[in-house]
Amino acid sequence: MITRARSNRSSAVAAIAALVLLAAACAQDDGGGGGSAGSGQPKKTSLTISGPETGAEADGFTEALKAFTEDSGIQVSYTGSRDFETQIRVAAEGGDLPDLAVIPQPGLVKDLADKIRPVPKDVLDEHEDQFNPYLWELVTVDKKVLGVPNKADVKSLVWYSPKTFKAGGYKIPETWDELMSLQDKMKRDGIAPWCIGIESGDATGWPLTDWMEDLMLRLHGPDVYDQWVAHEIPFNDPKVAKAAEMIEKIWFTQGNVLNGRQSIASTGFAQAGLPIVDGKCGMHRQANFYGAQFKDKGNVTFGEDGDVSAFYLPTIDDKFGKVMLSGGTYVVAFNDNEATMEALKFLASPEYANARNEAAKGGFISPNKDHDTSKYAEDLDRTLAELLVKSDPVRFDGSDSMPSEVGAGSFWKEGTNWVLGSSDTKTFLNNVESSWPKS
Amino acid sequence: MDTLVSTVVGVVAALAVVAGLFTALNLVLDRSGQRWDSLLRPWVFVGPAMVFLAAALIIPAVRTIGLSFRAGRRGEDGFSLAQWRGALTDRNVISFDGFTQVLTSRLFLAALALVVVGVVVARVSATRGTGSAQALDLSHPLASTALAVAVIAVLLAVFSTLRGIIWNNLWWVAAVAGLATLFGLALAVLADRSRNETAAKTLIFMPMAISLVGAAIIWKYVYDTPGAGQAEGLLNVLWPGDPIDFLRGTSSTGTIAPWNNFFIMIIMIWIQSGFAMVVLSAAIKGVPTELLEAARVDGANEVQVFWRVTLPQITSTIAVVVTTLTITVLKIFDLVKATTGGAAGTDVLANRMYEGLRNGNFTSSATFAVMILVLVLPVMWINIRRTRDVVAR
Repeated sequence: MITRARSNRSSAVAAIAALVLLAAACAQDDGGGGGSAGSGQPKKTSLTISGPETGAEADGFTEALKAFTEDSGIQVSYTGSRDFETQIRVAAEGGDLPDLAVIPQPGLVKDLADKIRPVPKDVLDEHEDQFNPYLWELVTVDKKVLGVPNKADVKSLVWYSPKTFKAGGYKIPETWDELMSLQDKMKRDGIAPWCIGIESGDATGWPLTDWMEDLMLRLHGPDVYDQWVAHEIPFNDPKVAKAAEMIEKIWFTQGNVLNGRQSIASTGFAQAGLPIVDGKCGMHRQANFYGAQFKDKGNVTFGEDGDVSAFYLPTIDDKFGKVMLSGGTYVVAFNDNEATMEALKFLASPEYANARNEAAKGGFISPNKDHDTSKYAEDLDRTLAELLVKSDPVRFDGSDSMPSEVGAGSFWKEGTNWVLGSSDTKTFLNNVESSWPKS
Repeated sequence: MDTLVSTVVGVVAALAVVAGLFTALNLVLDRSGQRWDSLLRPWVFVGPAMVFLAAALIIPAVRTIGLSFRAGRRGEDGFSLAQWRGALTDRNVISFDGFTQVLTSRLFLAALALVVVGVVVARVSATRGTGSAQALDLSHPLASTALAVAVIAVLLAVFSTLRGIIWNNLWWVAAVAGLATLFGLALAVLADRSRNETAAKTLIFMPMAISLVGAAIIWKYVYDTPGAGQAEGLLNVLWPGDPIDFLRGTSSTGTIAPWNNFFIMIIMIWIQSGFAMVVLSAAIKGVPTELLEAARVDGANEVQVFWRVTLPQITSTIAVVVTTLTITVLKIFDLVKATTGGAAGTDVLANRMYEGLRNGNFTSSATFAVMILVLVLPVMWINIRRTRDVVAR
């Protein structure tokens, strides 16, 4: 009986303690800084932003965010992830979205439309004219603009080493035929003409989509390209098959790719082009943002007198004009908090682009027409930014505009299987076609 | 700092709440009458766990099953069998192409021959045996080995010809559960009462402590081909011919598909053999020594002692090991994702489930989740029945 009484008292104490702690925990949560909420909340002092760029690619972005913090006093922490596309969806379902996100596909922006706060009117009034109108169209749903263009990618480029070209007596090709004969010449000289790698974690296969888009633009022109992206022609249309066959001839022929076709799907995209510097391979078709990888490698100079430079991927048929494949990312906001909107405004402004260029981390071109091009640390970047402005017609990365189930799903997966030899061209195209969502 | 404090407070508060609730309810029952006490007290003990299980396990399971029978990416379009029809008619999910090839292949015919041999030997042994009323004496080493090899040959023939995600999962089960148990048994027997028993067992058990993703990275250093940004893997250094990408099956001369699947399974076998070894070792040590001594007195040599005394005693443990491994392997995801991402014919059900989630296609994801559930249910039922039999005994 004595033990009973004692245990009664201590249990009562435990019960009261529990209630007190519970109350404390609840109070703590309300005062904390995280989580998303509607407007009417006090202005936040720290923001979270997530995106797909990691490592070297993200350095410039984080430096630019530091400039924003200096000006506004709002802390911003960036989290990058190679599996960003999955994680942002999971976050959207689980309700713990960051304050802002850098979305690499307009298709994904549209998919997340009901979680995104539209870009406020004052931001649009000030900055709408600074961007090409088609950039706004790509992320407009129900007449509301959902994102702010963050970065522009110049994609129809081939990276090369001027030193290797000089040593081998190679000239920069101006037409597709010249490109193909250059490829054969390099093979005869014992240099692998191409460095190709498509591995990228969850996103393995995306460099293949860039190749196909570039070829679709060059073979059939922008109108057919638009039809392809909008699914007005099926994915297994003979026109698309023709583009795939051209890739087959370049990628799958023995001796064309460094380390052989069998290495393509296991070579990471970030490392794939680096052997150019050492002269092990001749060319690497990749977007301008690959420059950040060379910068990360260190001891690499850019430009025609340097270690690496880039030339425009030649057209196949001049009647379509100087077609340019471009891409980019968008910044979206998931809540209305004053601090979030301030950050969004900063990221839409030329000041952001200038700050990012001042950080001199490379691999960045701003789509903002008013940014200061003199701030590019590399002449090469300035040249590419100007090339983007001069090109016409320009088309946005197709796989990024397709529904993400295809453009960031089956196109990547089936493409990888095709490169591995697990399926033939017809199966590859048929599988992607049958995965297109019917709605 | 804010997050750390609120996390610690949260954890402590949760524990305190549970303890407080439990004690409070017990106090209440102490005060109430005998009838209420005996009626409600079991629920006080079992209640919180049941609530948690219901919320975190049962309700989501029912919802997922329901979701797989709906149309629309999030199940908004009403009842429909479209997902199931789509999944089961998809050649990538399950295909019977090449079935006749299997039946006429050399492996299959060899298996048939071995079955005949095994049955004959077992029959002869049974009729010649002393007092055994069985028609077939399956504990004869030659008989059981022949039959086991026959089963393995048939499985090899089937899994290397028929393609599809479901076949992949079944192949995983057969290979990993089978080989891990086999290696575990062999290791347990070899290490038993040897000089360096503890050291050997520790070394073999260590891989179990590694996460599957960590193991995938370790084995990439074994399997990689030379390329930009990666060194040549150990296996490729030792391999006499051209380098082969063992995980994806490609090489400059051709492909080793679908055997690239097997190289990923090796990683899992490497990890799980330790588990099998530990459990089976305990079982072997649990065989009563009187039985072993009696057998030796009767003139049995060590091999016969193992086959005819030890092995029959530990069959129930072997069954437990096999079923546990089966359940573990049917869910395999991390290894496949971390090595190939499901490319090159290595796709598994759990990966498809993940991809459905990734694309926001929840009905598709639910369908594959239910497929895994359907495959696991028979194994669980066997396990539960065994446990009930043991308890009843």
